Amino acid sequence: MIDEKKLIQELKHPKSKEKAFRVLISVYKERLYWHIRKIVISHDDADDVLQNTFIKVFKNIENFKEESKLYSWMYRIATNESITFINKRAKQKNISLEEMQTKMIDNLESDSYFEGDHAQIQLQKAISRLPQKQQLVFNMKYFDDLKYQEIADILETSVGALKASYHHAVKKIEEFLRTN
Amino acid sequence: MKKDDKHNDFLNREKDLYQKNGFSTPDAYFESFEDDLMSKILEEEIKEKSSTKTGMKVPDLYFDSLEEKIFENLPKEEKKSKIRFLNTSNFYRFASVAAAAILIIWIMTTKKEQNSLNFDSISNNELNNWVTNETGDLGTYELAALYEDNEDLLGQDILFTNTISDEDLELYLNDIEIEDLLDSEN
Repeated sequence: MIDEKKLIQELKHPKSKEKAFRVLISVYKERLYWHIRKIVISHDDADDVLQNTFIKVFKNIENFKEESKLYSWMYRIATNESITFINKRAKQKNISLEEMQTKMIDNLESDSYFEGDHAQIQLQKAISRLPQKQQLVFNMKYFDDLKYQEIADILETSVGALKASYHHAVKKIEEFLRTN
Repeated sequence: MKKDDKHNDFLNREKDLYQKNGFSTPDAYFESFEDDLMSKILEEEIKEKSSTKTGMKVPDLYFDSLEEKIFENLPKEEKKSKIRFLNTSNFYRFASVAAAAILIIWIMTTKKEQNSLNFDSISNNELNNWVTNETGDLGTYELAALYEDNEDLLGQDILFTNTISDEDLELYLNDIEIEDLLDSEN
């Protein structure tokens, strides 16, 4: 268990910043990695985005106003970085976001860092067809088992809106899995 | 008492009981209860058909080497210069010469830029692009109104000061293609 307040103070102090940052990385690297990986799908892309996320955290920790929890601030940065990454990729390839996501899932089957079975690929396909916000909510609730309030803090939205998003998401996914 | 009435009576009494017992629920708990329950049922069905695992994995020892990789890419702090000027009079002399040189270069560059900015230096392409892109909202009526508004200022013969020879005009009218005209109409 880490003392979040103390860690933030150490991160903001030049003398203790580096040591505290190492603690921060060791605590959050895996959680953030898997959050990012589920959005960008490939390991190499997740690695790039994760590093950028931590660099952003390091550069901006002085501006962190502590109005939210540290983890929700970091998840927010990771989410923004991941979405920006996919949007940029789609723009570079001159394709729509939907086409980009279909391409990402198609590549998953030949990815050496994917060992899922047919059912898991089908689930990823079903997720990729959802609107972006529903994808985020579904991933955080279904795979990461985060609470609605925690997701609401990360995405800066209301619990009511999230519940509705999750409901639409599971409905569409169940239907996709039933018919495909 | 009918069966339905009995049932309703039971429900009303139960509601009163719950509201008096001191317990409370989160805001809108019962409003979203049906949707929450349905979400849970659908979630269980997804779990049965698929898995709660993504099937994604990471290279061996990836997380062990991550910390160092991040530190390598962190912005390096600029080290403060430790150069000391031993002879301050030489420093000021050098600084004033450098400042004068910069000033002269700046004046010459600015003057050159000013000289090079005139109507002749604008290429036809640039003019065409400007007319096409920047005057899109200006129709014939707007242009006519603009001319009328500035007639006194511009001088009455301003549009006809350039004389075109009959030969040039004939050549132009013979060369122009109908399709070009249609294109320009469209």
